[in-house]
Amino acid sequence: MAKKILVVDDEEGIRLLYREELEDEGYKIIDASSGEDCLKCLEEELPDLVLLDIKMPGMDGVEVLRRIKEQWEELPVILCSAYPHYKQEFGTWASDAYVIKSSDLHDLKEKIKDILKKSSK
Amino acid sequence: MGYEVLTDIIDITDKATSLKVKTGKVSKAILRAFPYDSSAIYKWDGTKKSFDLLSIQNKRTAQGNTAIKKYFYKEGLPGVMKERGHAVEAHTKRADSIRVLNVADKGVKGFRSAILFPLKEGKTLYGALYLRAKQRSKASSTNKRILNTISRQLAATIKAELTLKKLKSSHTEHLRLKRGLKRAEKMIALGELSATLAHEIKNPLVNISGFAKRLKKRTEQTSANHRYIDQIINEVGSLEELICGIVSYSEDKALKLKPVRLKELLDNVLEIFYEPLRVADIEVVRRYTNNDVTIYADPERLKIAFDNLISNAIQSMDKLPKEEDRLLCIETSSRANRALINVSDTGCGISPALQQSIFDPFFTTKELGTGLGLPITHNIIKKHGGKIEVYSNTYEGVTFKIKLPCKSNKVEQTTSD
Ligand SMILES: Nc1ncnc2c1ncn2[C@@H]1O[C@H](COP(=O)(O)OP(=O)(O)OP(=O)(O)O)[C@@H](O)[C@H]1O
Ligand SMILES: [Mg+2]
Repeated sequence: MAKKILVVDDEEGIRLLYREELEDEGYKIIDASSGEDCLKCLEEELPDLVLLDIKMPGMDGVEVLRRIKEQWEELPVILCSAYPHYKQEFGTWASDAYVIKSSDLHDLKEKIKDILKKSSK
Repeated sequence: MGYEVLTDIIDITDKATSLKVKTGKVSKAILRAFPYDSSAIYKWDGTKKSFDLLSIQNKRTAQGNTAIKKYFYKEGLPGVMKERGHAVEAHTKRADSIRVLNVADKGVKGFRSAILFPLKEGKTLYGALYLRAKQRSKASSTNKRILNTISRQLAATIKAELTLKKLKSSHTEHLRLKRGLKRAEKMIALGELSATLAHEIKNPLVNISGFAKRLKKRTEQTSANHRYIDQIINEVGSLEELICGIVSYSEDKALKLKPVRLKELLDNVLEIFYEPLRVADIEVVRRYTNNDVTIYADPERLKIAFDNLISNAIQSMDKLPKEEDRLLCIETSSRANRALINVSDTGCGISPALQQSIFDPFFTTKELGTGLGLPITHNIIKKHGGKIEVYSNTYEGVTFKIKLPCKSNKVEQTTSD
């Protein structure tokens, strides 16, 4: 069965891009446009992985990450950001991977593959 | 008699001209008042250990006679004078001789008498006054006394010149340092800016480039569109690289926290604006209720935060009609581990509708504004665990209220590299 990925980003263009690219890879995509929205989605159905933008208005990605890990400890989360420096601050703990936003989605796809392989073992 | 020359000399040395001109005029005055044909004035260079000619004046009778440009330590009559530490007088029998007082001095060639006075103040030597006469003549004790006085005046003049030079160079150094500081501040501001910019610019770029790549996948390789899309992808790609470069260059560094005395920091920032405030005719009111509020903060970053607020205030008040009062008020106080800073102006104010937008990046009402000043300030304050809010005040201007935690543990501690 296709793995499910929840894409959380406040920007519609980015959500669409991720959706299309990842659907091409054979994943099923659901999306959320804010931290609050993301938590609501998780209550309804649990995906196999969350792709989470850090900088969002309202509840930011780091806060969302904290709440996810409180409630669904096992759920893998990949943090995304335009800023490389967050990596040292949050990337190493809590989240399973950290990617810097880029139009080259190769890195991201590799990380997704890795993580899903590990978690399905 | 003869003392009138002193008034002349004081007059000359008081005027603000170069040392060369001054000493030349002093020599002229000396030649008018005393029976000498040539007067040369030397400056003592303590590091090179030499007497260097500042200026020379000749009477018509001594025309064509020059003076030696430089006497090294222990050379000629200046050397003898330095050794003895007081004035020396020498005479030769023949005008073409160069031997006097057991030394050789080409300077006496063509003269029969020479007298040298050290230019001294206290124990410090500043130079020499070197007078020569065609005729054999012995200076009277009165003349010696007057010439001694003149020498002291000359010493003071040279000393003043040296002090002035030192002052000037230290002033230049000061300005250089200040400029350097300003540059350092700009670099930090650039760091803040790029963090803000990265997100604003990078997201759309990722979008454009991402979809262009998708479009490419769906386009026939032979079609001309394929080439156009490649063009888009390449160009956007280099923009993306550029942004990444800027960001990693001035990466948003962790705060460098240390105890900061708020009053000192604010005074420092105000000092930077001394000139613009004066030009805009703005009165600054400082109300530091608690004189030594100390907070843990990154002073360089905080300076930029206040820098932006104050330049906005000045720009806002600069638009006021001339007759209206212009006040910039900086208040500090502290309450329960919080430092409060209010920055108020009597400028043109911000309408309540706009107050919501002023912290957004690129929001500006100024022709040449970037709209990044307040977002940067907001960022910096937030990073310190603080808060900034804007209010309209009773003077039709605005007040920015800033709260900052006093203690380090309230501050977001970022891992430093
Ligand atoms: N003290 C103030 N009085 C009136 N309006 C202000 C004041 N401070 C800010 N503003 C308003 O907020 C806007 C945004 O300010 P901000 O400092 O972010 O950018 P800017 O001043 O326009 O541009 P820059 O800082 O690059 O010169 C300004 O254009 C101005 O309209
Ligand atoms: Mg501004």
